Amino acid sequence: MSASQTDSASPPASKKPRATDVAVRLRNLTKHFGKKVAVDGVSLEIEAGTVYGLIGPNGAGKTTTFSMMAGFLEPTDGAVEVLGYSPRDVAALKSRLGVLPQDAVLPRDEAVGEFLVYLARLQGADSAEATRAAKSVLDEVEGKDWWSLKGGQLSHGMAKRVQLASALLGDPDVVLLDEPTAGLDPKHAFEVRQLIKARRGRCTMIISSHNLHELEELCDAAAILDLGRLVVSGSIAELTAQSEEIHVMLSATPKGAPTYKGPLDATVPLAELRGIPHVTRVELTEAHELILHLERSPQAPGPEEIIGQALWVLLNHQIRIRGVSLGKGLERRVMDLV
Amino acid sequence: MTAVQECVLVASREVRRNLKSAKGLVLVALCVLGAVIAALVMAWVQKLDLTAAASQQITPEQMRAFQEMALAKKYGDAAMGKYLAQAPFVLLAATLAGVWLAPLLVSLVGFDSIPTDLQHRAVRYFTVRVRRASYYVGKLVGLWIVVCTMMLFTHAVIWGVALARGSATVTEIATWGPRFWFVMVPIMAAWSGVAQLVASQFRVPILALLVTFATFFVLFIVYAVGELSTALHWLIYLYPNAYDAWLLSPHVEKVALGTLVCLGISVATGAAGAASFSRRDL
Repeated sequence: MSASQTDSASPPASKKPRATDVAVRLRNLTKHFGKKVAVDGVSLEIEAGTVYGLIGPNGAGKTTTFSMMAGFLEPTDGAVEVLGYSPRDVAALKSRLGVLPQDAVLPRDEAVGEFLVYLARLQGADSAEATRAAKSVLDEVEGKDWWSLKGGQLSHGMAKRVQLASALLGDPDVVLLDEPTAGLDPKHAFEVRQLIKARRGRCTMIISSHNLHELEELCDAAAILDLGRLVVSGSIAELTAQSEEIHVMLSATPKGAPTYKGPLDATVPLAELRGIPHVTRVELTEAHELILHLERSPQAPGPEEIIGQALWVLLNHQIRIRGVSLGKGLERRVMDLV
Repeated sequence: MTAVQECVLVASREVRRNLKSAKGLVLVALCVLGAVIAALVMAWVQKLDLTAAASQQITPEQMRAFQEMALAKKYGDAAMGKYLAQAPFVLLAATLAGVWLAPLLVSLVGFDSIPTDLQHRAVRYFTVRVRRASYYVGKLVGLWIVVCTMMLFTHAVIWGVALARGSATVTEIATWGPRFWFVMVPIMAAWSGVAQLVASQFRVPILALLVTFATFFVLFIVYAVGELSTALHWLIYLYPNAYDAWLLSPHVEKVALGTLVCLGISVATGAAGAASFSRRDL
């Protein structure tokens, strides 16, 4: 590890993940705590260079899965491989695996800079390199003024960003982030998201979070867990059915009839919308949301083209439109599944 | 990076943190204060003895012969009695007291080293970077260095007080002082191994401390049973302090054996602790 690697926009070629590599592989991963089955036979392959989300309600097994990926917990059955190694093979993964644990407290009596330098030294950097790397990651999380502050003096948000800095030390190939923006104010949560986006492609990032909008924004792919089992996994586009559905939010009253109180479906040209090529079905919900289901075929045009035709039809009938989105949104998808 | 390099990094942080922490500073202060008081009391007792001896017309040679006899009886070895009677009384008494206080010092210094990291999960920052065994052994070595350093402070204070009070000459302190401190080093290693093995099983530091105390007390009871029973005399060797008799011996081979056994206890408990720590969920 060196500061130049940490500072540079991209890692050296030897560390750059190849698109076809599998960064993390879970095989029939199972974890029991006594009689309780926390994770039950989860198998996944996470492609190198992607930003991957672990999604699920409380008790779904996200944190347990995450902890097994980080080597904190030993699987009861099955196996985890990170870059082809067991996560407990620390010598092989030194400086290649970064982890932001959700509930690990920073040492109260140790200065932030001293702590980060120590972690960098444990990763194999010499004293000067470690200091440079620590300053670099602290700068990356907007915390360069905290070098001398003790862990106990940091606010929750500051501590979270120092923890994030520790996960990024040494420019690791795989970074595991457990609730990276939990407890941060909107400004700093935004900055952390920007930081994650900036690292996209430089490393594989696996994010466990409850914040589905954030995951939808950040992730290329995700796995949805429930009751310890894998419910579904795939790209965000697949999970949200982005190529299968168009959602159009309508205003409750048509243009030119502001006092109209009748049912909206009387004014929405559903038949005309159904006539658009490659639209298989049209629904109008009670929440004034129009859903166009699209044909899944290689010949079908992109959903953007169908959006244009649908909007043309709606505007011709003076229907007022509040918003348009592709797919059903990760939040709704998760609610449907768990 | 080798496992040894990892251990060195973990151990040096442990030493730094302990000697800089409020708890570490309080313990050093208590050691120094205790040493000053103990040295003064022992010097005073020695002076009283000498005064009493003078009033009863007991010569210094007779006094030494009495000390020789008492020490020979304690260790069951006439040569040892003769050897130790040559040492300044204050230094010998301080060493014997130090041996008996060693488990207390080790448990107070080391009880929270791993449990605090487990309780607050700070251990998760380290175990993705160093082998778990290196973390465990580094902590153990750090604890050993810290308690040996504290004991060195204590002995140094006693040397100073003994010198100032005229209870020992510079030559005696230069020869017997380091000799007696060295007795503490392997004993501290053995206690450190046992203490960390017990404490590392707990996530709550105060619970770790209480169970460590309880374990040491049980070991003491086992030792006492061994002392009282001829058939079970071998039990005394389960108690690290029992090896002070070997470590204080005038025979080099016995000192070497005592050192090896104490270090062996430390290595065995350290290996058991590291193996257990490497397998557990954090």
